[in-house]
Amino acid sequence: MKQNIRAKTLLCLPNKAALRKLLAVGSMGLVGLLSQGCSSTGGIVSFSPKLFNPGATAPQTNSKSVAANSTQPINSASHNNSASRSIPRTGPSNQVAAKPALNKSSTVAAQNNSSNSAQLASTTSSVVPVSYNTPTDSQQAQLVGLRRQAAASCNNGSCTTDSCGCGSGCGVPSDCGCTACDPQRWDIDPQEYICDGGDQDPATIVKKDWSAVGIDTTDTVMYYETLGGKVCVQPSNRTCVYAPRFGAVRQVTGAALAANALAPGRVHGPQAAQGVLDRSATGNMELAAKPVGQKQVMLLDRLNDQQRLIPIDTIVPPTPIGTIVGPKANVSRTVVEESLNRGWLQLLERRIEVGTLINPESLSVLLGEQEAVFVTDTKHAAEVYLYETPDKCAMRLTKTASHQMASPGDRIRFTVRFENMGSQKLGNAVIMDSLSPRLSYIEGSQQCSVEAAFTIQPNDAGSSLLRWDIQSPIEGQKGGVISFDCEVR
Amino acid sequence: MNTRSLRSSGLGLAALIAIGGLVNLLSSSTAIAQSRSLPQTTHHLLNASAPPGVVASAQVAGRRKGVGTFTAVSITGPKGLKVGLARDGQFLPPIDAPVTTGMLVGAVYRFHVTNIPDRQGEELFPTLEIIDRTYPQPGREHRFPIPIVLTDEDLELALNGALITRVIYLEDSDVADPVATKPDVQMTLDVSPNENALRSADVLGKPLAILRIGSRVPSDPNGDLMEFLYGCPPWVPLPVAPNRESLIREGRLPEIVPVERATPIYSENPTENYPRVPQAR
Repeated sequence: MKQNIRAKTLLCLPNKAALRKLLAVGSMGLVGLLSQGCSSTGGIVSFSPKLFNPGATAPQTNSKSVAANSTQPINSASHNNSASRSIPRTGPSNQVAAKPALNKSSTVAAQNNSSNSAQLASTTSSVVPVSYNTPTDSQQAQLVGLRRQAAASCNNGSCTTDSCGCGSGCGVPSDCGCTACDPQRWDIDPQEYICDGGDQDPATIVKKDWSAVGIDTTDTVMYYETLGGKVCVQPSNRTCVYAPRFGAVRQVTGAALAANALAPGRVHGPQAAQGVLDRSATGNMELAAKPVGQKQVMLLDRLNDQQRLIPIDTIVPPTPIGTIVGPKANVSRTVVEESLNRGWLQLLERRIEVGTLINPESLSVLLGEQEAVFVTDTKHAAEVYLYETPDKCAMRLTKTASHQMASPGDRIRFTVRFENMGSQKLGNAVIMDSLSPRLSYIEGSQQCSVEAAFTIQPNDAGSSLLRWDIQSPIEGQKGGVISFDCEVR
Repeated sequence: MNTRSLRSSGLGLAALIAIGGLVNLLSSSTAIAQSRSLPQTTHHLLNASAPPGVVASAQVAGRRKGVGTFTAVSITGPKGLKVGLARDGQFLPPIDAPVTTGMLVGAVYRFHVTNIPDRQGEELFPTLEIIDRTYPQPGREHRFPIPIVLTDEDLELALNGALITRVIYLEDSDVADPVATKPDVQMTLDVSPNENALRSADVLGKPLAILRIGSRVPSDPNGDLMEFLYGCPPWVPLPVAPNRESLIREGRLPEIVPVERATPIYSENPTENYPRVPQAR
């Protein structure tokens, strides 16, 4: 049972899954578009080979009106009048043997997504604010809200400075009675988000009957075929909606007498060093990482191979940094100039040395007393030839949500946009979207800008698995838009 | 070696391989099971039945993330219920629920509940132990508070002498129960008295707060209540971000009538009228 294998977050063990999700989601922006954030919930959805075979089972038809043409331009209002055609099969014939024909007459109508847009539920707040006064004399706590430290127990926010010993971090009571000192960082808990999209492990695999396995819960993938016969799987981005849901575990027992009131005790933790103050003149010295040991010898041999026409006269051995009398390598010119301006005359006589300094710790060679020539050619390429092979997987799949935040009962519209970024047409495209258990698909809400056969079936998480079979090949630089509504559970 | 001995030795070898494989399979499955779940003999250090403050103290001592910060909490109940928070060692006059405020993670609050439906004149002093927090977007804390729900049943049981412990947790969205819920109804799982409610909540998600509704009352309401109030930790009112409706109602935002879709100047279908010309009105 999945719930039993969760790592404990509070009791004993660290929640590795939560940490992994936190690290993954932490890389996202705050706009809700996440990339591979929440962890997968396991399980493989396997389909019957005949399920999506038009000869065996007729897919559910879309009752919307049909767009004028097979594909819709991405950035233009004009339509393509070319009839849908089959993709010539140049690849191995046994790769997708039982997939539906490309130019099969459509049984499904599609609709332009510009009509009948559902009105999303209003998400206005109904919270009654507290009518109490400000908890302390300082108005700072109210002004800064929750993103500030617990100024209610501090004296006019004095704990924001280091004077009262609050350098040990948030949440640690300090000597001045403050409970927390540093401004609260903006953080993310993946458990509070409903994430959908991407391709979680195990990866999606397309079978010969043009069905797919590995469609995990919350996956959104698209697979298609190129002109060269290559089958490509393209996951979408991962979009997340902040929608925490709370529950309670109730326990009814007899009342027990507990006279002792326990409160969180004060914790005096060791304080780490706040910083290191470096006042040396060469504080900004930077030594690049140099190859050492055997790697230097290898570099020398490689240099010998490359410089066969010019014999190497001398091999300058590396000099330990401790034996250098003058200023050390890579001393900034600015530092020297600044030192001179300050009257540090002891550095004046070494100024020339600085101008000709080499890194003494690196291995160097002299080639016939020739000076090193630096190539400073800044010519750019005049023309760029881009060759596109017939096997290029050029589809892009993006998924967005209409809301960044939602409460149970709210309605969210998801928009899936697919675009053929290449110049070759791509066919047999199938888009599959397995919804999160917190999302409930609203029947009849899906719309597709191109002809597509839409089917729906339950997934392992108790939600729905949506599938669109794009009927016509997608021309280069064209694509389509799919939208559907979900209710937040 | 005769044929029988060969046959017996072969059978023995096959049995040995089979036993070895079985032992290997059992050991590997046991290792997987141990890596995924705690042993049944595990003794959990924290328990929801512990006195108020024990779990919060452990969170503070462990320097858990979020300790020492405020988190949004909303105390709700049946219609007409009044809730009074405490400040400076005394209870403030109760106000109508829901009461939404920011409470300190790692602290124990005691509040005053009066005007209980069908039990007029009686009062309760529940405790609320904040052990973790949520991370809503800045400025939206008031919209996603931790819901502390005082149900009629719980209040009735508490007035009859029972101790109700509710561990409020944040459900993990990945393993959420695929059932439709409403914002005003909280999913509740009842556990037996010999179980650890905190552990059950930890399995379902992230425990955030522990609500204990009992029959304890202050010995001297006008005396020193600091011990009864667990030190009277601070709380802050929540700055409510105004929504569009409230701004329009206050006259701070002009009310804009939704604009209907204008007639397109050019035909949207190039095949109907090409080259594109303005439509005749």
